[in-house]
Amino acid sequence: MKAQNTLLIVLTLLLSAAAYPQGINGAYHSYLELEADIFALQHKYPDIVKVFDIGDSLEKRNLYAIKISDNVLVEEDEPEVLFLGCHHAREWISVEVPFLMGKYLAEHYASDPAVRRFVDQSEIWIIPLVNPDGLEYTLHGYRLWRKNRRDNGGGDYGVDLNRNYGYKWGIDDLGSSPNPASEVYRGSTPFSEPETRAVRDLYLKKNFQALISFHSYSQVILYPWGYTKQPPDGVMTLKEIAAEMSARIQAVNGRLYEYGQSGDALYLTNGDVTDWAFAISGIPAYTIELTPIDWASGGFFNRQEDIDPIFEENLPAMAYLIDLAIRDYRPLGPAVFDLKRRLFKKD
Amino acid sequence: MKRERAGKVFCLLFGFLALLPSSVSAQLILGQYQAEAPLRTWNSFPYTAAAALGRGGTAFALASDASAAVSNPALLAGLPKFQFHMNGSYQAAELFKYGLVNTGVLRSDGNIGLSLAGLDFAGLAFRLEGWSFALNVSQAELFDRPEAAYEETYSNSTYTYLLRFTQTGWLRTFNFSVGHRLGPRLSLGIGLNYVLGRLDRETLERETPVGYTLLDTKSQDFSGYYIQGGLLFEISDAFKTAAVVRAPYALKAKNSSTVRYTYTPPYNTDIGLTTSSKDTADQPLILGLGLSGRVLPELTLSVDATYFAWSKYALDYFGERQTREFEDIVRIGVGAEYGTTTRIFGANARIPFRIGFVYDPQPMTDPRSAYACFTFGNGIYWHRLRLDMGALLGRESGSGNRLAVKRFAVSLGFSL
Repeated sequence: MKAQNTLLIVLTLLLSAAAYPQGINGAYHSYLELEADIFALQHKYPDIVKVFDIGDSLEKRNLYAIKISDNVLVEEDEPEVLFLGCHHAREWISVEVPFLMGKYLAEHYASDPAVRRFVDQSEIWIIPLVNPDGLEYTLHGYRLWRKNRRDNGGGDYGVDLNRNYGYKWGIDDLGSSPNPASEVYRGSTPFSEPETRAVRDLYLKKNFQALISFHSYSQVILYPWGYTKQPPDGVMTLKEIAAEMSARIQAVNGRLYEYGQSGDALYLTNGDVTDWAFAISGIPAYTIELTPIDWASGGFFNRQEDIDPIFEENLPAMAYLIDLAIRDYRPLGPAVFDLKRRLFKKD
Repeated sequence: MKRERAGKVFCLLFGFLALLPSSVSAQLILGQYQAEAPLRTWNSFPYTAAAALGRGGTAFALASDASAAVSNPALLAGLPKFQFHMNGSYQAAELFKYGLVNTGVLRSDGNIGLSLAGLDFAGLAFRLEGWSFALNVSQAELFDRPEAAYEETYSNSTYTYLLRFTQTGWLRTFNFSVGHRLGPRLSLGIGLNYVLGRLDRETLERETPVGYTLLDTKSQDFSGYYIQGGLLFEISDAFKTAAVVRAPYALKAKNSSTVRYTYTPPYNTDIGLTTSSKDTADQPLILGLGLSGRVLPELTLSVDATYFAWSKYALDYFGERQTREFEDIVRIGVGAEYGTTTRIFGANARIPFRIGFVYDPQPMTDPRSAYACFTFGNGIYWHRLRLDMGALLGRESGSGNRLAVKRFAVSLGFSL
């Protein structure tokens, strides 16, 4: 019996090792691995997947956006939804969830009617890795690095990319910091960082109807405002959508994602992407802090075998948001759409 | 999301090693804080024992001891019939940017010193039937870094937070060389070199008595082999010229990485990620030219120029090509040796005095930097015993940190 148990343990370990790729961070993506995988996805599904280079990071890594839609090479008057990952370098799981969403849509387009409807009737944009330089530093330098790799001088590095967006940037030093050594350093100016400028420039060219920015940890769904505890106009709608997403997440694995206004439920933040997107477009814009719930449960660490379950439980929430965007979309009409397309001709 | 720990990046405490006003081997400018950067200059070839060190590191056209085998094996033909030789060195280096230090996590107020001492060469050379042979082991490179730690404690509390970074490592060369006189003025030599090494890096972050522990360890086991060859041409009885080549080779590495996060009871969280890989680092071609001349009966001058083809350096780590923007460089060394004689315990003793200068550009293109080093040394050769001492003092320019270097070497040899 003991020999059998030993054999079982050895086999499990061997299979486990074989199941995950042997890059430095195992089943998680490095920058080069993600680059290879997204282009492989495009190669395999060229009709519905297109990868765009939307800019360069500080260390000259490409910033990629994946578009998933029918007639992917054509801009259509359709609702657009944006999923973002890894503003913060140490939040490895926040790369995987949006990437796996793109992979799921591509792989199930032919077989799943619901996926087909999403892809045919909307344009789904995914930027799985907003902060590639920071991610690489977590692999080769310091695992708990958060910011990008801006050299601030004197041995200090990094700007918190999720404090660098332009709405209420630097309104106070509670929601961000002017100190280059701080983990929530907001940068020298709004959009001082090429990474946030790339997201901004893509956003302004498009007509996004909804947005999720993935982070970890805390297991919560947050909506604007982050810069103040005061609720925005339309907060009840934001709350209802968050509640629905939370319920759909919980229905998968039983894990409860609490929800609330960012500035009130968690802590004040200014200069983040969801406040900015909501402010300029009034769209449902959410931060989803993925599991675990707290530092004691793992914080920024998720087991490799938990990547897929975490994606699977968030899939219904993302699908719900896409469905909402399709349902509520009012086409711009040919004249306006054509004007918009000509104004932002270069993609 | 975890709130920033206030004050974490402001304070740097050192575990064991004190700041030094100057140090032996110049720190590489870590344009990208490369982990594999040797503690000494990137341009570590050839190994130089005390005598060669004292005369500007010139070792291609002038042999003093059995360590000539690792610089130019053609020099073996000019050594005594049998020689055993050992060298020990004290080295100190200043660093500014490495690991977690001054790369955003831990910050220092200035350069940080590291000193190491130990035996770095042992070997023998002998002649047999017109052929010369050598067998030795030398310290090619060291990868140590000053331990850096940050600790927080609070009065009236048992809570402690610790963040600590350590790195140690070495690379040794096992050499077997053969030399032979091809004619009255021409000698040829060839060396087979096997390289073995290890690099360990660890970041520990811990809260006690209750809290998390994050342990990130990276280990590398190196191996490789290369061939070097050398020529020595005696222009005249007083003047010699030499050419050396070290072939490019692939330094293999077996790499492993373990990142483990745990939390104290009752949570008992334990999340680990262990991966491994086999990679290579393409080491560059090295070409050397040397010239020595006895300009006066007791005065010999020497000069070496060494070309390193660093633009061809390529490092793979966990299957991914790492960015290293390196350029080819030429290192220049010049030296002088003045010999006097005296009597010690009734027997003649030779006392050489040496001075020299080394200009040692580093391969990084951003920022470009170079070390300027002065060297000096002397020796006592009495009966069959020889004792040599050499020193190098230098400083870097280009990085803005003006890193200083020191190396003191002592050699002991026995000849027949």
